[in-house]
Amino acid sequence: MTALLDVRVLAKTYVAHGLFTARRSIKAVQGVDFTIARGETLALVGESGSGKSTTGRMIMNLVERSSGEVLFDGETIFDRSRAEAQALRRRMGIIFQDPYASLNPRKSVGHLLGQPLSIHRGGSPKRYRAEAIAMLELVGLSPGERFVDRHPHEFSGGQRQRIAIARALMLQPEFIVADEAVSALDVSVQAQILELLTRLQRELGLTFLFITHDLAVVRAIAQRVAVMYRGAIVEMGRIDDVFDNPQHDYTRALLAASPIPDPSLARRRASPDIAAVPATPIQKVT
Amino acid sequence: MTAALDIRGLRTEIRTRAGTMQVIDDVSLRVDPGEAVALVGESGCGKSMTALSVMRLADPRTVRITGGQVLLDGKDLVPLSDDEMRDVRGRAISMVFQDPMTFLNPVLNIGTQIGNPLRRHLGLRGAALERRVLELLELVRITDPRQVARSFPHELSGGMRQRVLIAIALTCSPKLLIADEPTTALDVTIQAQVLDVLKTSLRELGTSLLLITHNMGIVAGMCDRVYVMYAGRIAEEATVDDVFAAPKHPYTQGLLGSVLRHDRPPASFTVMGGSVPNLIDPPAGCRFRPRCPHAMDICHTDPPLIPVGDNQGAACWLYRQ
Repeated sequence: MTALLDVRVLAKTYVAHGLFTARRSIKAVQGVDFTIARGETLALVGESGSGKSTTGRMIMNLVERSSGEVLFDGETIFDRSRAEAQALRRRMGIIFQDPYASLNPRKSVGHLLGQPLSIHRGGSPKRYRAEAIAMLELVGLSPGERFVDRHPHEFSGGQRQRIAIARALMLQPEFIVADEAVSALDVSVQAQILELLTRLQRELGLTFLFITHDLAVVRAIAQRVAVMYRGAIVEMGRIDDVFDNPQHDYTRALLAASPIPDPSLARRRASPDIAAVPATPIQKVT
Repeated sequence: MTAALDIRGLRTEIRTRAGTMQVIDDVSLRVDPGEAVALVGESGCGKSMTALSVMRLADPRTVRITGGQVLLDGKDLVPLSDDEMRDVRGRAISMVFQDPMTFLNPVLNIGTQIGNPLRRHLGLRGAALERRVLELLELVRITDPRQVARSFPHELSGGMRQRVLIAIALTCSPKLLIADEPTTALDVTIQAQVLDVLKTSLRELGTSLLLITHNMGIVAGMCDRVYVMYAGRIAEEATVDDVFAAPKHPYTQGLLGSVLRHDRPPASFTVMGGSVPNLIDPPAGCRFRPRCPHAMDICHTDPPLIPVGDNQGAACWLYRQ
């Protein structure tokens, strides 16, 4: 089976120029390698500053890579002609954490959902009202006619995230990057959205890169996991293997620190090691 | 035994342009001396507003306490003037919030900020003040207290800032600490450290804890008892063991059914349909009725908190005798 996504030694270095200070380079992502098979969900897990979001954004070409290669369905995604880049972009979608920030508050839901089609196929977003209604129903907002003319502020956080998902699906992509897509949601809404994503994957054959800091979410949605720490993948494997038999110290620390909603298990856990504070990946350029 | 905190029939309303919302509707809860109690629920259920009502920190232009008592060590706080409340806050009762940067002054060093409540409430000065500041930093297990006392907030990491905030809250060895989502903004490894610091320092001082959180994993590890809030009311009260072993209120059952865990392969998680009601025009009777799989005719009448077993109660007609 060939991989739908093949990421090879992908790296990103940010250079910080400060007045009167030395130039510093921040190696946000230090050469990560992974593949995702068609129809699979890979979770990229790590804490703030681990480079997981930067990795996702480089794959979506939203952040320029410093080096490395990303193959989508066997072809590079970088340095393509305009037409080729647009064709590629149609096949890849992204869902962000904050549905309040990622939906334009002045546009109706019909407009927001019609916009990707209008960009790729031409015409005004209004032309795609029927497609928008059908998509709303697919993501569980039905009847779609009731929602299509409303604006984002009229929806709850969970409903907004459904709209963001609907928007990412309008061009019928094969691959979705979900960047902390359920992190801002209450647990009961989180469960609803995870169920929706699982159903959509089954029905549409989607492939996911699921970026999250929450190990419980990883276990609920993914088949494989890559653990990132300081810009590098320190451990990768099938969920059960990594979670039940972690090999890397950082994976163990992360598993030990994640709360377990079970009082008898929670009480038996040891106190965390105060000294083991992870540092940020900042290095001086010489 | 006098409770550290005993809230009886508290009612708080918020005036908005769209109408008045009864955001806290007859809430009663108690925290015994030395006890750690969790107040859990989802966004907008009123758990933070309960804390702000106790502390009298809500905006008086829009928020009003319309009934009930807040007994702190037996003394009602509701009739106190704003001046009298200033003497209570930071001394008998303290609060820690989610975002430490909002509550630390960026232009004062950490030592000064920990020292301020010690000067105001305990009248400490000079060497005694300095000694106590360093002791408090050691209490929250800061390894280099002199260095940190000289630092400014921006020089510290998120976890360090939250530990400093805990130190400030504990300056006067309060009877009760209210912690509102104290670790929600932190990474899990840092969260575990801060919770551990919180737990041990409270134990050392004999301070009771009211922990407001949406995270059931933290409740399991930190607390003795729990109150579950839904749409401004207490849905269930139980010991932590009972609520995880046998939740009684259908909302608690749905909430716990939605909680994911990383330590074993996913069973099927249950998905609760619907969403929380609008509090300007809430449904009559039980507010969970429109989403409840067990809704009956009687649910159009407000359910009282009905005892189920020794230490558990649910505001649900399923348990009427």
